Parts: sequence; C-alpha cells; structure tokens
Amino acid sequence: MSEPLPRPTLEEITAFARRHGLERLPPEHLQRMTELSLLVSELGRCLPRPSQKEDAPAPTFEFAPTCDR
Amino acid sequence: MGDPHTSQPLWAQSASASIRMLRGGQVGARQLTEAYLARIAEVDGRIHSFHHLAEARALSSADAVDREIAAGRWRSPLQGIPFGVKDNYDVAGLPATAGSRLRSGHVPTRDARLVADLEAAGAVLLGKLATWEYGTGNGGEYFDLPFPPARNPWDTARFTGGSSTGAGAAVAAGTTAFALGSDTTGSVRLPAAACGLVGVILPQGRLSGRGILPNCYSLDVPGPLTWTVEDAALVLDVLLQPSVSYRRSVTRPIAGLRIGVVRGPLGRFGPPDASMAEAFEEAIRVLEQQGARIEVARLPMPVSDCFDVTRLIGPAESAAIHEAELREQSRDMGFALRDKLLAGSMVRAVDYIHAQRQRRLMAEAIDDLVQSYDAIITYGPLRVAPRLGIEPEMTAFTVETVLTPFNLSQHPAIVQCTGYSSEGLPLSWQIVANRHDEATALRIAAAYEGATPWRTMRPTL
Repeated sequence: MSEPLPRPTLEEITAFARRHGLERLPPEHLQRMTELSLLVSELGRCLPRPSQKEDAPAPTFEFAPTCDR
Repeated sequence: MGDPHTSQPLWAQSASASIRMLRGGQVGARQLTEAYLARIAEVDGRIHSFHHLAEARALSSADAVDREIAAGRWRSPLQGIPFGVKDNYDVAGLPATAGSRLRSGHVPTRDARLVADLEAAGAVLLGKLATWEYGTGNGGEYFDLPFPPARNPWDTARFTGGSSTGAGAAVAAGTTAFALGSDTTGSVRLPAAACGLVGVILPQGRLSGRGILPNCYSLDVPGPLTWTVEDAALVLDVLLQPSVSYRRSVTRPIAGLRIGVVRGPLGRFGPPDASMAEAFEEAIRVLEQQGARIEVARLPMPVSDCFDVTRLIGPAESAAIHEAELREQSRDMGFALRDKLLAGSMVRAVDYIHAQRQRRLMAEAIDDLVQSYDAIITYGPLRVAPRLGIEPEMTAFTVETVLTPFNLSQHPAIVQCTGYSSEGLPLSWQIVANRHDEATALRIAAAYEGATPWRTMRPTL
C-alpha cells in the first residue's frame, strides 16, 4: 500500500485551473477541486493496466455508425 | 371510461391494451390523451414527473389521429398512444432545459430523431419529463435545481432512480403510457427498477441519439421505459422496424433456452437486499417451470471493477462535452453536475485511455460469457428504491448495481419488475442477450411477466 497522497493546496489547484482554462471558477469551486483531485488521482492510479501494449482502447467513437446517431 | 373488461381507468392500462381499444373503436385518441392529461392534473403535483407539459400540442395531435382513424388510415401500432420524453431530448418549439438553469430559454427548432419517428408514427407527445441536470448525477439529490425532484409513485418519500427520473415516475403513475429516457451507466434501468417498470437499452447505434443532449459519447444510449414487455416490444417495433416483429417474438415459449444465472462476483458492492435476492431466486424458478435450462454463470470480473472504469470515462467525457459551461457558468450548476465536471477536468488523458483499454478487455470477456448462453440473468440494482435526499442510500442504490458491465460491453439489456418488498417497493432483475438478439431478452421477460401477477398492481397515489 502506497503512502496517502498529500492534498494539493488551493494555490496549486488555482494554478492548474488557470493553465487549463478554468481561471473563472470561483474560490469555493477551486476549493472543491482540491478535495476531488485526490479521488481522481486515486481512481487513475488504482486502475489496473492491461498487460499487453497491443491491448488497444475500446472503439470509442464510431465513424461509421449503424444509424444517424 | 376504462377498459370494459377490467374496469381499469385508461391511464392504468398498458399501451398495448389501449391500442387494442383504439383499433376496436372503443376509445378515440383524444379521449385517451385527455385521460392522461386528467391523470397528470390529478397526481403530478405529488410526483413531479413532467418539466414541461404540451397540452395543446397533444390534443391537436390526438385530433389529427382521430381524423386519420375515421378515414381508415392506420399509420403504425403506436398511433394515438401518448408518450413523454426525458427533458434532454430536443422537441421543436418546446423548452429543452435538461433540468438545468443553464439552459433556461433554450427552445430547439428540430426534433430529436426518436421523437420525430414516434410522432411520424402517430404517437402523441404529452411533454418533457423530469431529469437530473444534464441527464447525469452522482446518485445524490441536492434540491438545488430549477425543478422539484420527481418522486417515486410507490412511495413519494422515495427516489425514482436517475437520471431518467420523470420517465420512471410517469410510466408507473400513469401520467404517460410510455417514455423515452437515456442511459449511460443505468439511467434507463435504474428508474425502471425503482418504479417497477420495463426498461430497455440496446447497443450504441441501434437507436438514434441525434437531438439528445450528450453526457458521455462512448456510453450514452437512449431507451424506452414501459409498463409491460409487450409495450417495450411495440415501441421497438416502431423505432427499429425489425424484419420479425418483437411483439411476435415475445409470444414464443422459452422452453429449451439456455440461460446463465449470474449472482456475482459483486466485489465491494456486497450482497443484495434480502428481498431482492429472494425475488431473484423465485423468478429463476418461474423460468425453470417453463422449461428454460438454467445454469450457474459468473461475471469474468467483479462488477465493482466495471463501475470503477466508468468513473474515469464518464466524468472525463462530460467535462469535455460541457467544458464551456464549466468555464463560464459553474455557479449556475447544481452540485452534482458541477462536481462531476470539476472531477472530470482533472482526469489525466493517460488514465482515460487506460480505462478505455480496460473497457475493451472487460467487454470482450463479458461478450464471451453472454455468447455461452441464449441470455444471462443478473441483478439490476442491489437495493430497493432509497429515501429521497438520504445521500448514502441514494448513492448506494445508484452505484451498487450490476448494470454498468453491459454499458461497457454494449449488450442489449432489460430490467423488469420481479415483485414487491414487504414495504411495497418494486424489486427487479436484469436480462441480458447477445448483441442483435434483444428479441430473446424480450421473450424471456415476457414469459416471466405472463406467469406472474405484478402487472396487475399499480401504485396508489
């Protein structure tokens, strides 16, 4: 079991938000991002990785749908 | 006036029974529409199934149907049947809020493809049905949206299941004959389960998503919610026009069908409610008595692992779809949508791609399982409808299900009622068929429904 991650500071999340076009989020929503960021990173870290590099993603977006989606 | 054979009010009949009366000249489309409008006036203040009612449009459509019938012109088997659509479907000239103050004043100029198809078939649109904001949510209810939350007609203190909340409430309460919802990780099947209905999803591309506000490009599917299996077959007959009608398929006996019964592994979701488990086992016996060959089967991975994959895919795609609103209008969103988009904005592209890689492996393994049988049967939700506003109960109901594996794998799936708990709450299971063989799932569901008394019971409001 790895060490629990430290929660990012509000300043770190504010900088992240600015880099990614979310600079207009109000402070309370940035604060919420600091809480959510740990959950999101944990989900990503805990997801098992396919063992074979050839295991490609699911065909995510159809280019020849069977009806006019 | 109701069905003279059962003395049921018109709104309490199945759509199929209403069609037989229309065809027999025992009722007209206007009379039928007025019966639903009267039912809405009577009970919708308690269940809030509708966001927008289109009364004048519905009566005008019904009058047109009556004129056609009088002239001997039958357009389709849904001609004259009232329906509603989740408020994330576009309908030209009607507000399309998707349950959000972000879209107040938004009125589309085109119909969603499925709405256009149903109206072309002569079905009568009653209006737009309640939904969680943008057709998504985290399971909780925060009472922070511009519309009151829909309430479960079986117990108005309880949740309808989301996100097609109004569709579930409306079909159960008889404020519409059938409804269209949309499902990303359960949003058709959860309200069908909580409200004691039939809810159907098909693989992406079978039913058009055009004109439906997207939530997750790679998982979204539309689907009908109906009172009976025959009604679901009827709606799919009209929308898909199969070479062999689904209504004919559902009458075939199930003797000899190989059905895999999947009880797990459930992973960290824990065991189902006792009432759900008892009804599940009893329902299996009903199929056995009809000659189905029941075999024990097992999901190739814990169901909670499937849910974890969707927790990366869903929020990331939603954050991409609704990026502009999050940037500019996050204060105007309800908590559930905003929280999802904030989280989705932080999902790494690398993790999203790994989630889609895992999804592919899971889908292939699930497909191998389903292909071993004519169909498999699983739990749907593991819990009965929770109390509205009790967040842990609502989240458990929404999350702890066996629904997401078949969103990932894109198999046709049906949830149907398997009875009622001691508190009078609907119980349910899920039938999953091979791709392009939804007729077999409908056939099994119809055989079960025909052998049980659950469709004779409507909620008391």
